[in-house]
Amino acid sequence: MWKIVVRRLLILIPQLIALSLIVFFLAWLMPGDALRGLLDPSMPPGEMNRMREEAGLNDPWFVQYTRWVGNVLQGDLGRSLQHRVPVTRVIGDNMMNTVRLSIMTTVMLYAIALPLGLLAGRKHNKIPDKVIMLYVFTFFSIPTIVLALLMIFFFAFGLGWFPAMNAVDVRAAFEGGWPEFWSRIHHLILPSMTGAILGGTGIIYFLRNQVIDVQNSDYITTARAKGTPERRVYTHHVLRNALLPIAGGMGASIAAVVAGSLFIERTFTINGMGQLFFDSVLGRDWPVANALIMFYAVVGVVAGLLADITIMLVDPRIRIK
Amino acid sequence: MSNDTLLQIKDLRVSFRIEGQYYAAVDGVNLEIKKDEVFALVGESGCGKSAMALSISRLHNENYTQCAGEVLYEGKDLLSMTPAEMNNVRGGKIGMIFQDPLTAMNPLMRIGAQIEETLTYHTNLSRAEKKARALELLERVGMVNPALTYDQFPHELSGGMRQRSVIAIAIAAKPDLIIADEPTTALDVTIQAQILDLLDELRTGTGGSMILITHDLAVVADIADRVAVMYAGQIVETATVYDLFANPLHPYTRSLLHSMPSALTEEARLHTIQGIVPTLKNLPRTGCRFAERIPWHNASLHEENPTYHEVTPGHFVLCTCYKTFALGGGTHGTA
Ligand SMILES: Nc1ncnc2c1ncn2[C@@H]1O[C@H](COP(=O)(O)OP(=O)(O)OP(=O)(O)O)[C@@H](O)[C@H]1O
Ligand SMILES: [Mg+2]
Repeated sequence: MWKIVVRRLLILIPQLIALSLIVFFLAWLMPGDALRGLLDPSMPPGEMNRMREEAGLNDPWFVQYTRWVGNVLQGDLGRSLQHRVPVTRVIGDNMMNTVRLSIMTTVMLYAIALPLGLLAGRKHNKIPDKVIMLYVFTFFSIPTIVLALLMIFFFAFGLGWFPAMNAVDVRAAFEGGWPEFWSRIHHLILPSMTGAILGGTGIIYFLRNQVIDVQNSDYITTARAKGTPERRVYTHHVLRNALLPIAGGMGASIAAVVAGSLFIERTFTINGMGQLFFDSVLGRDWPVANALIMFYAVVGVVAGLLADITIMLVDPRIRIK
Repeated sequence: MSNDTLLQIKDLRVSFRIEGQYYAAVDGVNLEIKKDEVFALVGESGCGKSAMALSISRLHNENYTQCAGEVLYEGKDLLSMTPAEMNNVRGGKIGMIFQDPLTAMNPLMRIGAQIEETLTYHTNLSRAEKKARALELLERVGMVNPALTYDQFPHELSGGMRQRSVIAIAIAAKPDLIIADEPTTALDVTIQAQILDLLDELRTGTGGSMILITHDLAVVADIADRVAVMYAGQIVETATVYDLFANPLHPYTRSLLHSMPSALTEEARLHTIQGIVPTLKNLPRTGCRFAERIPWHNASLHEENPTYHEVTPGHFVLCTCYKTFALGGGTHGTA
């Protein structure tokens, strides 16, 4: 078991190297460099080139690449052109908001999608299935911003149940402790519900078809032929087999949630990495943008790793000796 | 119903919904399975054997299947039982063995656990007792290393070993009736013989009845006591194995025997019957369903509403068209 996990972790290394090369060349291709922000009309000619030389920006690419990797490994991602502070500091402020939003969205996503997908499959072609499929097809193609605005309109302005913006109440944040915690949850409900309602559609549809498939398979007939009560047929036989591919797709789902948070943060004005990403691209702040691309890519790779390990744990056919 | 009857099927009709309409795949079957007998059900692909077998244990998806008639097990109608009563019958009184051992077991459960599941629902054994019983069962079905197999997953076993495990699941709670639906079709020839020997041996060991569905008449001759021949959803002939082989009546039975290499009847020139079983939707629903497969026979030889004729005691045949054959009447050229 552990051998496979270790082996899977080793595969991570070439993945990360390839990733870093892509990110590095992306930065290379982008106009301007880290010194451009320091450009000053009063600077004597040639001074810029001297500074470039000093900063090592005239070195061949592989020298720059190794230096960059070295820096990144030490947690130095360069300096933001807009904010004139290290990139890590700019990101650090926003990262926790995105992480909280993503976790909350993921939890809600599965909390909605798993029961609905299972129910629809089990009640195939009956009323529950039809209602759930109506939801799936309605929300499958709705843009995030439309649902986000609807949610704000009804639940924030209309009913006043949840706040429409920000990640936390300023006073609660100042108080800290439980008040801050509840305030954060309270603020996260609308944005994470938005993400979960939209992101859940694909999983519900997939899981439903999975259940329909599995419940018609021979081994389910065998289970029934043993005298297994209907409830247990589902909990012990259908469920695990139907969920297996969902576990396999977990990586992609988490990555999609994090990517989707880009738009949600923007609509709910949460200072997260999505917000930062927009700002940095619009403000041509390449070091920050690059660091964010790197972050998203690492999330994708790690989510894939998680999914692979989960599926190895649950599917005996994949456990290699 | 006599005392030695275990299962009595009365006017059973199993219909599947196709494009909003129900079509009967089993159409008015009457059968009696006696205690401690092996009852074979033969007929070509698509004639409704599996549909009938599954309806006995009510394993059809009720969303698109209708079952009518009666299936009396020890006098009680299975078709009108509550789900809880039915769950006592399934596995406890009737064990099922299916055609494809590769897909018949849950891929995520160990063999031992799958056998113990049957025991959980039909016995009060403790965990340790269940394990001991599962190991014993694995040994009885011929596993070389029961302790190893107990902890293995289905994908780690060969086809033959998987079918042995499926058999262990089916016999775990000592049911009085085993329904084996083409238990060897998916296996290669040497393994087929082993599995059939096993089934025969298990039954002679503990008694109990078995419904054996098969294409293979050699198998029928080998282990069955009585046999029913099915065509297009109906039983066209029932007899003891001896009577059926010695004196096949229905033209369809004759064609089946004729296509078996070793069974040379006096009527070697019998036609190789043309065509295949019609699909469910296009099944002839009136008159003799076999008529269109023997077009050289005059329509007057068939009954308008075919009935069963008891030609010798216990030997039943549907429709009068058998007579032409019994009299050696089929004079037309082979196809
Ligand atoms: N779930 C179903 N829905 C619709 N039609 C079905 C279904 N199951 C079986 N049928 C049809 O019912 C008829 C009888 O099928 P059945 O599986 O009982 O045949 P069989 O005698 O067991 O054949 P085989 O020897 O190939 O197993 C066939 O025409 C088949 O196409
Ligand atoms: Mg069949």
